[in-house]
Amino acid sequence: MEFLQLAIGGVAMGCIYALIALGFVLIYKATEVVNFAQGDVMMLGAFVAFTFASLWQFPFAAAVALALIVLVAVGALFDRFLLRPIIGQPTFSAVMVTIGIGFVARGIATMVPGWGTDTHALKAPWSDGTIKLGSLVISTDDLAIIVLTAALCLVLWLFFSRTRIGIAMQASSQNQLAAYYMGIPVRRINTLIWGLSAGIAAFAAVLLAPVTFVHSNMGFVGLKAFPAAVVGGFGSIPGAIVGGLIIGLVEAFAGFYLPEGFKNVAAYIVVLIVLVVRPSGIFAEMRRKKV
Amino acid sequence: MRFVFKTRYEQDLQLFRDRTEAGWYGVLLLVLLAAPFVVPEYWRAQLVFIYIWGIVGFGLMLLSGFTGQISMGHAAFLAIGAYAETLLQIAGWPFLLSAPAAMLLAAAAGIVIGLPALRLTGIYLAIATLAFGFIVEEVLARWESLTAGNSGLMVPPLNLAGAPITGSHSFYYVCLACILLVGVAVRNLLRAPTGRAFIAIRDSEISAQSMGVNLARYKTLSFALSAGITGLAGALYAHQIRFISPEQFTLFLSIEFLMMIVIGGMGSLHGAVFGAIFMIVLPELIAITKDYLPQAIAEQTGLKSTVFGALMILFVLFEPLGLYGRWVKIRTWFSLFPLYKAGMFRRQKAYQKSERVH
Amino acid sequence: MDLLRVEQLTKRFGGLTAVDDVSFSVQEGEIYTIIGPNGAGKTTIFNLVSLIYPASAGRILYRGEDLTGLPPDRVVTRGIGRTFQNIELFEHATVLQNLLIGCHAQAQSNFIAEMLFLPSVKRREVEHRRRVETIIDFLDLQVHRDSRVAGLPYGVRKVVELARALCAQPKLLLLDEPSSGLNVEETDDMAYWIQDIRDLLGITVLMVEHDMSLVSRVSDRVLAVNYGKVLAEGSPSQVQSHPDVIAAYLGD
Repeated sequence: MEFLQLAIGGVAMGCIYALIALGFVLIYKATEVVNFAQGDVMMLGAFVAFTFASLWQFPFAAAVALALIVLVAVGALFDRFLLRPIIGQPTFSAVMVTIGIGFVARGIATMVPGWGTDTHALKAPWSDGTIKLGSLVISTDDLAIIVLTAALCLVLWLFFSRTRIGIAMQASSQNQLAAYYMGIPVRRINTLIWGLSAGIAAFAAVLLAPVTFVHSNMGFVGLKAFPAAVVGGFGSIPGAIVGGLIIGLVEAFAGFYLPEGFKNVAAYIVVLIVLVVRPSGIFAEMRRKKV
Repeated sequence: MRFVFKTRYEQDLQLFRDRTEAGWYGVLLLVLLAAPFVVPEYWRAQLVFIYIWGIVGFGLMLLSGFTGQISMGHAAFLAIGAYAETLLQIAGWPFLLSAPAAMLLAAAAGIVIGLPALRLTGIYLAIATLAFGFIVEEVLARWESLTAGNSGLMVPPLNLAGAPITGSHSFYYVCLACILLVGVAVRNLLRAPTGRAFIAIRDSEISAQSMGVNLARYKTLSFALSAGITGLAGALYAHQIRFISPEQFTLFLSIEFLMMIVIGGMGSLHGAVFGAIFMIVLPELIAITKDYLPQAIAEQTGLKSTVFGALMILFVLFEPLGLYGRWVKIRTWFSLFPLYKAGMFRRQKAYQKSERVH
Repeated sequence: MDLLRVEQLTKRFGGLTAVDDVSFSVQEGEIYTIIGPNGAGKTTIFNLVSLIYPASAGRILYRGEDLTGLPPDRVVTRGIGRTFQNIELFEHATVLQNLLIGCHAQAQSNFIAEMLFLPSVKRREVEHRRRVETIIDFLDLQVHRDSRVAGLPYGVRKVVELARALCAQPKLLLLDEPSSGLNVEETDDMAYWIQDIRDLLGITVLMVEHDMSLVSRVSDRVLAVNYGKVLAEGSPSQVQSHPDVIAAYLGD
């Protein structure tokens, strides 16, 4: 029974990792840039939702919706003004810019009045409850995370396969030149993808906040999402989700069955093992540079 | 404006371009030798930090700037060097033995991560090094019998060749000597086949192989050398800071190292030094300007983070050649005055070839 | 003597057979060209001979020695040099550094000696520099010696690619589309250089080429391939008038 209990907790955390990893992978597929600020964008999302919900007393649903909109805009702005100018430069430069964005986000978050370095609570309407299934006790937060993540994945799947913009995004991610030829405004699509990633991060933030509370170092969760994205294969969306779940489960079990300290590094040990066996991750396609 | 007229191939190989350049470096050396006697205690300590970070910069520049292997876990090598040095000095080893041992241990760690990293590129390599950094940090915290875990270790005063040295001046000269030796060694490596092999690996692995460069050998060598050099810096760092604990060697330190070489100027050794100077001087500048800022901003703990991040972004966007690049531009402006052309340093954009097949 | 002999060479990428049972041999001192429409498998043959891809079947014999299983970085020490179709120069290095890397195969590099920059290291550096300068003179690259490759025009880069391959002192030189992207003048220069490489430097050349006038002008023998299979082999005029070859290029 403990096993299942742990598993559910692991899946819930894994969903958060999966969502953040999804954000990475979307941006990487489109622009080959790794957004090291994804965790910090999530942190901003949490704070914005907190501002609307607790500081300004908006109803929860409205606060979340507004937070999503604000973060989509912020993500788009990042791409438009900070990343578009360096198109063509080595991706390492873009990565350093995203690292810089992360630092600035963390710094500014501590300077905003009402945010600061304190820890704030952001409860969802479903928080602080438990559901009993036989001898299993599931917290409503965990349940919400799992269910809502699955719902979001479904929505995204429909978006990418059924809508024009979604298909355009897919096209642009696979072959930018061909997308240009087909009249797809690739740079604008990239900006939208950044916005979408930021929105997903905000969504993850709202799910995570009841569990970990809102504070300026919340984005460090993003560091665990890297192994998740890599394990699944960095260019693969289903890979990101599977990777996230794997990492979440491994951590949960490591925390219980292995000596102290393994939980912190479980994700990193897993990623090293996976990379040794499959250098491009589990779902990555084997690719070869054509000479 | 000086034009160097070369008549022998050896002139292209020498360390300094000509007598004048050697002269300037000589003056710099004299200034640095005299510094402890002239400069207040606090600034001497800062200079020592610049030397230590400079050595790290050389190491990281060798691996990431010249061989193109991005390392996000370099703080791990610093930690290994620091802990090895501390434990050996506690056991009574003199620096002349403990420092090389620390370097070798760090180099071995470099090989441990370098070997699996052979098949990894780009983001996968970065994440692998990141993972390595986290694991080392955790191991240092958990292996309490060896490292006293999170309570940390007190570092004994530097025992150079048998007896503890007295006076902080001596330590200053040890650090100065180390950075000079490392700088010359790396510079020599770069004007020789090994250094060129590194650059070849960075720019085109397939092509490098076709020219006879054994990727595995040179990548591993680059990791080992880079780690060893950083290990030496770690050994010096331990003595400077007198107390080491695992939480000093986090991911953020690794990222600060990366920022250091990017802001300093990737792809040149001078960049490493400029980056080190920047890293030490920046907090001082922030502290000074705090007095002029409105209370609300100056008080903030987030100020350093914001300034670092903003400078990082600004440098990448507007000065990709880094501080050293800016220095070269300014120097050229002065030497060519008034004939400096605005487009002189505008490099042809080398568009990054996609790592993916299509 | 057969410098290079390729026997029943086959390469499959999953379900696609890129090279299908190709056999040919290159005599010492000749210029041998492989022609064929786009996608015929010519560059794949090159990549197989220079061991960048392992062959699915067949053998590659260089001076009687079977090269199968040799790692790609050992190929140049045997004496096989190559250029790449999509220029693979070291973009952020100068032309001189690119050429010096070409000498790498002959440098037994010992990193400790190099860190100390012992006199032996210096001597070898000067020696390599002399060799590189000979090649620079041969190909008229003096003007570009200290320029970064990233800023050079395409035609010059092609020449630098050729120079770099020559620096390794190969006995067999593989040229992948040496004249692609070059204008008439540059192609003319290239033709002279290829002939000089054979006559003055004594290097055997195996070439992939599309430009038929260049092919007729410099080649001793030609091999035509399509869909990975050999169509015809012989002198340039024989192959170009072969009905299968004409059909492949012009369609039925």
